[in-house]
Formats: sequence, structure tokens, C-alpha cells
Amino acid sequence: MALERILNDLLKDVDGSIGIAIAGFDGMSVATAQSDPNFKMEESVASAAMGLSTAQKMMKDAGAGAVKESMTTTDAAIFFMRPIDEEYWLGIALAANGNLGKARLELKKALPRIQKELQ
Amino acid sequence: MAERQINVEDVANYLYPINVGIWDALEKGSFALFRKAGVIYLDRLIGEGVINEGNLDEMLTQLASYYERVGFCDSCKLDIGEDEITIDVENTPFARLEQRVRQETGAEPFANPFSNLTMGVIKKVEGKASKATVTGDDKDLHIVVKRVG
Repeated sequence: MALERILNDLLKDVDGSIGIAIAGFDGMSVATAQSDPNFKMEESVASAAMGLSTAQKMMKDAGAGAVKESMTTTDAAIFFMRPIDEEYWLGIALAANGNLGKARLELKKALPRIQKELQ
Repeated sequence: MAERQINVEDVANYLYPINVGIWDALEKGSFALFRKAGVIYLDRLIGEGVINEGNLDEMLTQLASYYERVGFCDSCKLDIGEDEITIDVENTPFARLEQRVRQETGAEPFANPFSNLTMGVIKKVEGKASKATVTGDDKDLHIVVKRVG
């Protein structure tokens, strides 16, 4: 599947990446790839969908426009997400020392290909 | 678990502002929340011995019987096919609840216990995600659950 190929390439290109997903705001994944087999992909996708939805609502209520990117950092990981369109979003989980800059760049670059595949 | 006779109509009335509030906070993320809630509720029913783990048919049949027993609906009929599962629910307060929530929010049904628990069973038994379409009126519901991927 083309989307899974794109995700696997991103996973290889970004140092420290743990897992990556294209999913709907309903919490259902469309395509996923992960380098760490212990990463709880399904649970993370469902929770991330809620987190991103909350961020969107927060910005809407603040009159701050549409969310372009959202990031959460913890002691052990970085979750970086960006909406693809009204229905879908793209997110990557990195180790705390993962290459966030490259993740942002590569996800942005991959977006047109992903949008094309989702049409 | 001791099954008490509950007034499901009262429960549905209580859930109305909660569901509207959840949609207000999460919008489409509400589907993700209730997808998770379905799995948690199912685990609770299994843990308390209301539902026994088994194959898809067995678990869904037990759930349908549970819905009727506790008063979620007058009847719950299942058609378990290869591609999709159809659930026809007669006279349920959740139909009225969903109609009210939809009128208030414009949202497609996201908090339907029949569809969310069915998706939870599919996930548990087959490890697959699924998607539900809920239609109906203020009494009866017609639910179609399709596996995804």
C-alpha cells in the first residue's frame, strides 16, 4: 500500500522515530508503521486524535485559526502531529532525543503525496 | 455482576447534556473517545462475568441478550455477515437520545452503545478496526458495522 510505503520511508529517514500514523479524527488509523514493536500504536492513535481535536477546539474558541501543527513532549517521547485535511491527520512519535527538526521537515514534505493517496 | 433493573430512559436523559458537552469539547474526537469507551465497557462486562469471551457470534449474541435483559431496548436482532454486521434495535431510549444530540450538535451518532460495543468486540476477537453507520428514528435504530482494513 502506497501510504504504508510513505510512512515506512519517513520512519527510516527520521532518527529516533518510534511510530508513525495517518489516522482520522475519529481515532481510526488509515495506515501505520512502527520501529518499536512495544509501541502501543492503536491506543496512541485514539488518544492523539482526541488531543488534536481538543487543540483544534481550543484554537477555534480563541479565534486563533486552524491548527497547523501540535506537539507534546514528555520525559521519554515527543508526539508531533499535523492535520492533513478536515478528516485526517499525520502523527509521529519520537524518542525524547529524536530528530524533531527533521521529523517536521519530512512530514511537511510528505504531505502532498499523502493527500494525493487519500483522494 | 448483579444486574439491577435500571430506568434507561432516565440514564439517556442524564447522558444528553454530557454527550452534547463532549461534542462541544472534542467535536470529531468524540468518536475516538467513545471507541475507547466501548472497549473499556466491554472489558468491564467480561471482567464481571456478564459476557464470556468467545467467538464473534457468541459474544455479540450475549451482548444482544444483555441489552434486552437490562432494558437498553425491547429487542436487538443481529445479522452477522462476512462483510458487515447489522443490528436492528427496537424501542430504545438511546434512539431518542441520539436524535436530540444530533439536533443540538449536528453530529453523526458517536455515543451509541450498540455500535461502540460491537466495534469493541470486533477489535477484541479479530484485532480489526471497524466503522459504524447508525440510522433510525426516535424509537428504533438500524446499525451497520463494517470492518476496516
